Amino acid sequence: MKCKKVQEKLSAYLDGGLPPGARSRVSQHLEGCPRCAEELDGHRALGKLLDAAPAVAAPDGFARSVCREAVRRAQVGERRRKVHLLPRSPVPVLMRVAAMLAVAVGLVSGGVISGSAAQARGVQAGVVSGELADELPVSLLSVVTPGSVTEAYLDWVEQVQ
Amino acid sequence: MLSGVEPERMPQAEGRLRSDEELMSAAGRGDMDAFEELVLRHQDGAVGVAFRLLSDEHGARDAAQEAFLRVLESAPRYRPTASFRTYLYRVLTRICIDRYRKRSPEDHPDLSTVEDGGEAPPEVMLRRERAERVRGAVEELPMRQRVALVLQHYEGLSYEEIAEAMHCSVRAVDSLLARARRELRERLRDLL
Repeated sequence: MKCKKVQEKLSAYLDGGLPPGARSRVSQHLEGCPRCAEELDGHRALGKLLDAAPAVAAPDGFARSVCREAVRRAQVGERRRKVHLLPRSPVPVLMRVAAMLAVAVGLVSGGVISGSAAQARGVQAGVVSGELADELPVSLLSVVTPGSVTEAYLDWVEQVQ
Repeated sequence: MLSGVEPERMPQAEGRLRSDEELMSAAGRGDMDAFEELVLRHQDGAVGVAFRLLSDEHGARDAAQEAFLRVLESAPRYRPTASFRTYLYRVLTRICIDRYRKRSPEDHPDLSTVEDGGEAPPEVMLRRERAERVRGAVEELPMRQRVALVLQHYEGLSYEEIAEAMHCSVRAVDSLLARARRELRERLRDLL
């Protein structure tokens, strides 16, 4: 076995990672080759040096905290599973969202406009009366656009009144 | 997955320490005592490996915890084709590699475990400095070389076990370790 080949195998030789045949060939070579034997010493010295690197162990209570986390995740998973098992509404999600939006717009419009619908149709922010107007954001006090949901709502309020 | 709320306890084999595989099997049936025993057996190794791969103590604990939780999750499907330790380290090294890759360059390793020089005598300071040099040199290795080295040198896994843990051939492990040592000898030449 040549030196180059032996030196490639020294790492595995030291780790016990060579099959018996290869191991004995490397051993034989090392007995008669000071250069490769020196190389082996270098590998051994590196091994000792590596032991100098700082080490860290698990802190006290680590196992218990892992178990607690496992139980917590299991409980969260269980809750999620139950939520998924709830009967689903027959109304499609988009329709539900649209309905919620419509109600929200209606409520905002209703809240913004105080007094009679006729006053509200006065179109300007100034029409919104009193204390409420002071608290409302400017964007809500804008002109009522013809054909908008707000206008439809105002029409409805007018009819009811 | 374990029930979490009502773990099913299995009777312990009388007077005999249960093997990792038996504990794993019990954990798969929801026996949290068996799982805790498994964690206790392997926690130091797992945190130690994660620390050597991530150079971050908090990150190491977190990665080790995640590895144990993933192991528990897979416990009902676990088939002991290799040793439990090899299986655990396979899960753990994947987590560490993944986290290391996702780490931003600003995330410097936490060196809180390496105390500062302070009032320590010169020989102690020298030892610390040496330890820090070694840690830094190992950290600079490419990740796969580092994993192979850590599993072999610090955890004493055989080449076959490392190959199993790293999902590669024994030959590849041999090559990774040889390159890692060559690199380290070069970088730490003045300390050898």
